[in-house]
Amino acid sequence: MSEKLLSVENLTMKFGGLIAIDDLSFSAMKDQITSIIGPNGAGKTTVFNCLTGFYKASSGSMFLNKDNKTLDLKKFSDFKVAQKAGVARTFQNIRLFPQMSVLENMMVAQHNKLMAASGFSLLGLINAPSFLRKEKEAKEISKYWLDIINLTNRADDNAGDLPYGDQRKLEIVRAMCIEPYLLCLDEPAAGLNAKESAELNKLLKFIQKEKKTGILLIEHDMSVVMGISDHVVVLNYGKKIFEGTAQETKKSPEVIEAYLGTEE
Amino acid sequence: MEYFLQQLINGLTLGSVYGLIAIGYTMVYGIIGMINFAHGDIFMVGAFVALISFILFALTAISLPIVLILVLLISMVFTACYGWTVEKLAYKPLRKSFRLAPLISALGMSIVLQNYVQAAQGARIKTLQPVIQGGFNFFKESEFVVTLSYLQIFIVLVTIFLMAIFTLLITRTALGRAQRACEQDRTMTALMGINVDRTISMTFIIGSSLASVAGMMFVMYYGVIDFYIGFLAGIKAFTAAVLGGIGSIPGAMLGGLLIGLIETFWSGYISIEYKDIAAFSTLVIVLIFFPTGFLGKPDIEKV
Repeated sequence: MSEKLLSVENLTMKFGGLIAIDDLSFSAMKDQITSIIGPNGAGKTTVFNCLTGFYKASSGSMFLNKDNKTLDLKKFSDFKVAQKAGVARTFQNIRLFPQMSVLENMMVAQHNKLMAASGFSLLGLINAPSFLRKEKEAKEISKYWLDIINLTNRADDNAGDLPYGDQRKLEIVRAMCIEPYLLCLDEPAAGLNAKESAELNKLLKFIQKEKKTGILLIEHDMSVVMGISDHVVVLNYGKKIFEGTAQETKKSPEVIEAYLGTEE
Repeated sequence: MEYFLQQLINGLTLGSVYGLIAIGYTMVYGIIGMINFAHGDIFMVGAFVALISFILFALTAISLPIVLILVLLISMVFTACYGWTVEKLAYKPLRKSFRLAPLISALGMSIVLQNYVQAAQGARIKTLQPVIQGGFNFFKESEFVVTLSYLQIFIVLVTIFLMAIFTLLITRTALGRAQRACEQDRTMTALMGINVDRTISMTFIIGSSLASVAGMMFVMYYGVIDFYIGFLAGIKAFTAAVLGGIGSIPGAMLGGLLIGLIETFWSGYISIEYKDIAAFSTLVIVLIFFPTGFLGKPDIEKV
């Protein structure tokens, strides 16, 4: 049994009279893929928004276990979510920096260590060796990830010019450049064809196995969810209706009723 | 021919000053989508700081090149503090507000700075004795002698030097990369762990220090300043930024040079009274044919 990475306890999020998340508790393990599924409007993205400090949860708590320290995610907002807590996320729609090159997109994600190495830019201007070394390291890391998603030969093209499927994958590896403990992916397979989602599965499995990063996944594509999840949390109207392994989820009558539907 | 050459030299000098101010406008617009109308007054503050430092150093026996460097650094540092403070006080609290709010706040800041300098330094014009004198004379045997003063060389060289450093900063360093990322998607930049507020502050600091250099050049070149110079110079530099394509840094440099050249040639050949009208009319004409300026990128909406 691997150790617990994220524990969400009694999380509630209200917008006026609307209860988007209702007393939700679940946990995600380190080096596991945890999927959150459910019908549209079930509150899946709201969970992400609470985790990454976009929304302030009405009540409840979220704790992240990072190097044997417990961080209260409620205390992190804005850039500190990635920098201090080590939580990275992607959005339903692609949010790359379209007018920057693929490589630069990867370098932006490594900003903090480069900024420190460049002595807040002054050393960077005079090309100090310490900065150049860090810059080279950062490029190596970028190349490493680009190799994995087969985009090395397009490193200097604008990210906005890539095909849709490649943009999706680039977004995920860019998030990995932050060296996160928890990677939150919001519908990474949306708009991908069967071949591309198979590649996505492979990439996510790789991240889980090799990088030991916990992945929290929101997804509608059941081939992705059932193919790679170690653990599935099912939401409906902001409430957790089921939690278990992929196999258990498929068989659960409540989940079939609320979300999966029956086969004729 | 000689007359033309003289106007060209004058125009390039003036254009350098405009270009340095225009960069501040274009950077701020690029990163937070706002026209910083107080930027012209930051330039004016820079000119005053430079003037005061020159007068103070005149009392000492420090040699001229060192004085120049010291004045340059002092006015950059002081003016950067002003720029940073203006951003913190007037724009940062309004960042999440509607789009016009910081614009109105900027106009307010512009009035505050003008009145502050007026109150602190008096409303009369201030003069500075020429700091760098002499120059090269060409075509001595013809009836029109072309003069290229050392001061003009100094202004153009410092401008080229600063713009080169600045371009390196934007294209090569982590800070520049973060600034370009902020331009495109501030939310996502923050999710990369980048302190967006600090990056925006840095933009104001850099823009203000470039404007202060322009202010120093201005006071050395014309020798006369008052608390009101920021208005016209600011509007001209803004015109330059729009002409070159607002948001584009090479565009701001190009626009600055163009406005400087147009203004000097117009005053040299047509009439000095209408030089401002010439500069602003050019903007109107250019915008009809190039709505995004010369080097501006059109907003492409992908459907």
